[in-house]
Amino acid sequence: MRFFCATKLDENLQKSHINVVVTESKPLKLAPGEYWLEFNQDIVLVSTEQNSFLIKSSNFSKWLDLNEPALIHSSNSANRLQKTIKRFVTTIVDAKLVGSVKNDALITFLGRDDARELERSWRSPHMLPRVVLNLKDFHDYETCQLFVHERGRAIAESWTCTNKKDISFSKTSTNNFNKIFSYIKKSKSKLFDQSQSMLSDVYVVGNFLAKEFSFQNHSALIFLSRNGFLPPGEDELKSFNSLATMISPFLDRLLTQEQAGEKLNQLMLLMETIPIPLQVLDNNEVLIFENIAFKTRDESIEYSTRNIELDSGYKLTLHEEKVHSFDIDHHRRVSLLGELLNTLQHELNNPLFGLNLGSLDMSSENKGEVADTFHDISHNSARCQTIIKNFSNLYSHSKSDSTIEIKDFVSEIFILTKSEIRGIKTSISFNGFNSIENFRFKTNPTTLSQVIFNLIINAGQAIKGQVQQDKMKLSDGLIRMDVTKLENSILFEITDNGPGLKDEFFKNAFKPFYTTKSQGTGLGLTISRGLLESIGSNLITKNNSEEAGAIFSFELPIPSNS
Amino acid sequence: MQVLLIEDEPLIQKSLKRLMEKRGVDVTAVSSGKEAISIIANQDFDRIICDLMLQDTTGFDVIEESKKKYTREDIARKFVIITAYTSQQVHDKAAEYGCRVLGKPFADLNAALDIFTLKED
Repeated sequence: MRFFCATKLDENLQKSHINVVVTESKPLKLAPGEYWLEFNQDIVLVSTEQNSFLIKSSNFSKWLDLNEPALIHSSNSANRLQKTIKRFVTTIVDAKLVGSVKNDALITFLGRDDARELERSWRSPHMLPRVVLNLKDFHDYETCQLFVHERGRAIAESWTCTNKKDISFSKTSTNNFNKIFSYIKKSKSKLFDQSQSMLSDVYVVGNFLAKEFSFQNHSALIFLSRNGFLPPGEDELKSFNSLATMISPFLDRLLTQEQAGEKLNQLMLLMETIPIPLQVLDNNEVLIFENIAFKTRDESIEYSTRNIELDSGYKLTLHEEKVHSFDIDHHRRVSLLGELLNTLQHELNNPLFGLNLGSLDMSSENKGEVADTFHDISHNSARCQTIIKNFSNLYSHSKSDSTIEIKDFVSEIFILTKSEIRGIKTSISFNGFNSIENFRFKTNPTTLSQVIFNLIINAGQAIKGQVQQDKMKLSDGLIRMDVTKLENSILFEITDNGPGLKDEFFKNAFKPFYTTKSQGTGLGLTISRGLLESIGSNLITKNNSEEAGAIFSFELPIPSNS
Repeated sequence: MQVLLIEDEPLIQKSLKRLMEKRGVDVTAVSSGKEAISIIANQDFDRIICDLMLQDTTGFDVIEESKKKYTREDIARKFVIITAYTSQQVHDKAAEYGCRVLGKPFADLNAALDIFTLKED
């Protein structure tokens, strides 16, 4: 085959300015205004920078004997060729065939039905084998196989059609593909007899036709066979070559498109599933994409947005959860408090222990009133030690889990709240604990105690608020703690008979700095919820439907072997 | 039985001494590490109860010094460290010497007094 290239036409399409260059090698990329023509039999494949299409031209086969390359180099025929091509290209331009729908050219070549079929296959490369077998020219062929290797991949893919209908898919290693590829490429005749070599993963039988394609990002192979033992004839070979030539640029473009499509799909999937909420806006600020994380984001948390400019004016907006400085401050405060309390505990331990021992000693030396009083002194100093120890533990900010005995644990915390809830009645109940072992379980005691402490204080403040407004008496106040053992968890419920929760509360409660108390920091519930989340739990708030007041509850999962 | 008590908190020292004497043992009480080292060198004791945090030194320093007189087995048998700071480090160090550690305040006073005043076979 001989190849020719017509170079740039000027804008006015002056025929005199058409330059024709006769060359054998196709340029890697065509510039605008450049045309590449390939002749074969009675079709001409015209390629531009963006398009390729076919023209059937019986005229061409008449004046050029394509099998006589020597002819080209005689100046006479070269000149004649140039003139013809000029005329041809002008015709193309005049007829505005440049950029026209390839259908017309195809139809001319293949006939309407086949053309439509082939065009459909040109949307996805792997349909090609079936389409080829259904073409008129190839309808008595049995097997068509298309191999595609994308540059850089470890495998090559193949699609085989054997009954004009079903396409079977298989993979082969790049090594094997390359072996087959070089084998096909080396052959001059492109006529193969499978008995001459064993090509694995090639599913054609007997004599077959094959052609290799080298594209920018892919290599491909097409195999066609009658699955018989009669070698293909000259005409058949020519037909096949025409076909190969014809599909070549389209296959290239389709494979590239598919590769880009794949990349796009993967990118879209990544964006969909990335856990950061994000949106994409076009250059008119119109929302065109929201990912799953954005659609399912927690709207009660504050977010800060970060915009990233993309090409062509599009914008990617990332939504990041605001880390409030108070979270860090709280942590620092807790740590500092923990350290202070620890030091205090150690400093106080010695004198308190001394008091305890001394009074025990004196108690045993005396009788009656004196002995009793000394005994009380001893008892009280022991109590002091327990209180300081509990407070120290409350803020010791330990990150590790340990086993606690829930009854003692809860009682100790209530003791710590005494000063805040003095005068209010309290009641603690434990339900569903069927054996002593049930009362012991593993959790983070610091976290749990801080949460329970905070919820009791909150309940107390709700009641005291009502008392201040003369809506109830302090002695009528009740804070109830119910601890229930469930199958795989422990349910903690703190109920108060204060004013209950207003609608406004449910919307805003967990927003930082929201408070109904005149002196509240508005951080208690936010922090409590955060703490609960860190131990696998969740804070639930609701109004007590039976009586006035609110119920704050959370469920602590217990590991099954604790 | 001769017991040495090394404790610098006056009320604890006085009370522990009296509580132990009520059980029939002879108790010598000192308030500093220096005094303790000197008296250990000059006298024999069946039990040495030593507070960890002393004004001038630590209980472990006293033990080190007493190695001049006692074998490792003796030290393990005689010494009992009492301390308010019961951390893992303290336990590990005490384990090196092989002696017991009791945290202050004592969880069970009677059990502690038993350890202090009963001769072991």
